[in-house]
Amino acid sequence: MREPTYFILAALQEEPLHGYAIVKRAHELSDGRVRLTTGTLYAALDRLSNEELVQVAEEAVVNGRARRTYELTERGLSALHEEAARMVAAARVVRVRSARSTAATVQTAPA
Amino acid sequence: MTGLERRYRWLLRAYPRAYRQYRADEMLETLMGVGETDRRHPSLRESLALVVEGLRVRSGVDRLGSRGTLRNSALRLTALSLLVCGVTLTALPLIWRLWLLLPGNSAGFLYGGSLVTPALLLLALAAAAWAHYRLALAMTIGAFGAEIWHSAANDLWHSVEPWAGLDAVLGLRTGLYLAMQPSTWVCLLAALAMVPLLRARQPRVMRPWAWLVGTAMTIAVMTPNPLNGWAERFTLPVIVAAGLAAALVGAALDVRVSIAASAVLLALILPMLAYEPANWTLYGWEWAPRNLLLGAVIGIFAINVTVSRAAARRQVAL
Repeated sequence: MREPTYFILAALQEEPLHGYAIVKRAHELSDGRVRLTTGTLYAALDRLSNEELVQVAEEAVVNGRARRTYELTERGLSALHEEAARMVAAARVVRVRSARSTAATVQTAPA
Repeated sequence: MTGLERRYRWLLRAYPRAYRQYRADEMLETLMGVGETDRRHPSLRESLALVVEGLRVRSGVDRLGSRGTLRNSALRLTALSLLVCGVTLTALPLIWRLWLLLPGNSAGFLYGGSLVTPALLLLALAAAAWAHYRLALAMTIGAFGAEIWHSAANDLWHSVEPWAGLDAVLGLRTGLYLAMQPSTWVCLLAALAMVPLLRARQPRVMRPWAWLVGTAMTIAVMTPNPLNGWAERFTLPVIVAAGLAAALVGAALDVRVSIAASAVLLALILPMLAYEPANWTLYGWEWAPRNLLLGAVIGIFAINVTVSRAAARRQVAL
């Protein structure tokens, strides 16, 4: 899963959001790394809707314009959790190795 | 309506009408929210993303989510591009004759070639365009057979020194001649592209012609013929430029374009690689413009293959 997709799903984890709110939340959650453009956001939402990972929660008209809010489906939530678990496992590999090499350096250092 | 909103609406025209009817208002709401309030013009980043994603929706590549559907669609476009290329290349004798019929045109020689091959390739193209791959494959094999028959019947071969020892062996001479013909590789590669499609489930074909016209015109411009002034010396630079454009389009918009371009470039490179060693054996390799351009074509082919691999992986990732 690509980083923008991951943060779009993460943004929808707590509550249904509309397009602009997803852009803002993904930006905050990623510490400013993910800056979604509108074109990319809706391409991703189309793809995620086709894969049944997100769905339209509500359609309303605000200021004369259609506004849809999106929410995670059960499938989307489990895909997000799987990806998070995969990243934790990948991070663990590096952390364990780096902890071992630090310990080995301390042991071999002259007193 | 503000100037910024009007400009965003204009950029949203990159998307097809049906998509705009469903999404334009919602996207505009998001665009106006994301854009800074004092801004009068859309940012370059937003504008580019809208144009690129709009064109991706138009090409339909955004709906090819799985590896299988992307592979089948790419194979279909590859087969069709190769067949267009084959028709354009093998129709040269016919174009030549028609060109000579026009007032004021004359020539001291007649451009030879079988007329059966382009006719069969045209039928194969029509069959493949409507997803009748069994018929298209049979026609393509028939076109290849017509090429073999034509070259054997007319005892066509390249009279070059290194191959003079093969004079007595008719089959080898014909084989060598065929290996130097782009039409051979076009037929072979198109047939290979269609074989996996025979068993694949095909979506109903609605409008196969729109992109075919564009591809046919591009390839016709690339091929030396009376329409472009027999600009043979410009052929290789035009192939390099078209290959580069295909790599860019493949990377940014539609991976199928770079995949199809890779196949067409391969069909053009292989006959050159079969022909050029004779010149290199006779005169040695030198930094001649033709050799450099051939190297450039091979380089562009490598770029297209690399772009295709990377873009295909990105396409199927969520």
